[in-house]
Amino acid sequence: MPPDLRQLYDEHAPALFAFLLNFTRREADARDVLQDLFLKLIARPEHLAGVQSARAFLLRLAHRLAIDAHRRRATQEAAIERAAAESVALFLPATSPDETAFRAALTEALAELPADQRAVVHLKLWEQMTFAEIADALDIPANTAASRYRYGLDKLQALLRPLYEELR
Amino acid sequence: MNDFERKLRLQAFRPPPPDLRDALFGRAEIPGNVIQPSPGTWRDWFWPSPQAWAGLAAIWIVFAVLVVGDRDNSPPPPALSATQISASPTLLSYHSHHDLDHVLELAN
Repeated sequence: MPPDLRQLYDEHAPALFAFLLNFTRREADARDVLQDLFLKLIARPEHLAGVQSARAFLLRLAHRLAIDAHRRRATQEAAIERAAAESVALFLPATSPDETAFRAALTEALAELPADQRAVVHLKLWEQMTFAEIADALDIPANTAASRYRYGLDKLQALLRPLYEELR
Repeated sequence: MNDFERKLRLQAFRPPPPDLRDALFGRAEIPGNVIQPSPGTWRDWFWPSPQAWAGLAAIWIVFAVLVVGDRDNSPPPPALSATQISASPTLLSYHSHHDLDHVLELAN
């Protein structure tokens, strides 16, 4: 039986868009990759046959498509890092001024991370994936995923600690 | 997971643009989105073999050109004289019918 792609979109598109927005740091790129991903699934829904974890499969596909998109535009790291320097609204508007300040600072701090660390941090924190799952999604060894997470988190803590302590 | 990680996890990302879903699924023919077949138009009937129709049209154009060319080259038909016209069987028949109708009207 073919999968219901609308239901798949409703369940996973927010998480995929968040990952792509954080990874590419450009709304247009995140949108293009998400659209490309689902157009591929609409054209070839059999890709989903036998998939055990749709979320992990889609995140892996989204990551690959984002890398491909950046390769087409320029050298991967240079393009992503250039994009990272651009201002992008990653988070929903907060209700309090303190939260607004924290989200703005977190957005800037995430931009300071290299793209590979940012991807791992996102999948660990916001997708709650294990290092083994992250390793599978990003095609890297699990040890590398763990070390990238540790480096990334340490850097975020260093950048956000003053504000974080102040808001506690 | 420490407090700092928990704090980060609570930050909610923006959702995808609402129009993206419509752009993807609005008109696409995918499972669960069956497009009803529209009633056929004349174009649907004619279009499946455009080359055959073009060939047929070309043959008709060739025929038309040959017929017109043949008519231009042939001598004009001789004009009928007044006696020939009045003596033609069709006209005689017409006159007979006309006369008969006239007689019937008078009889009624």
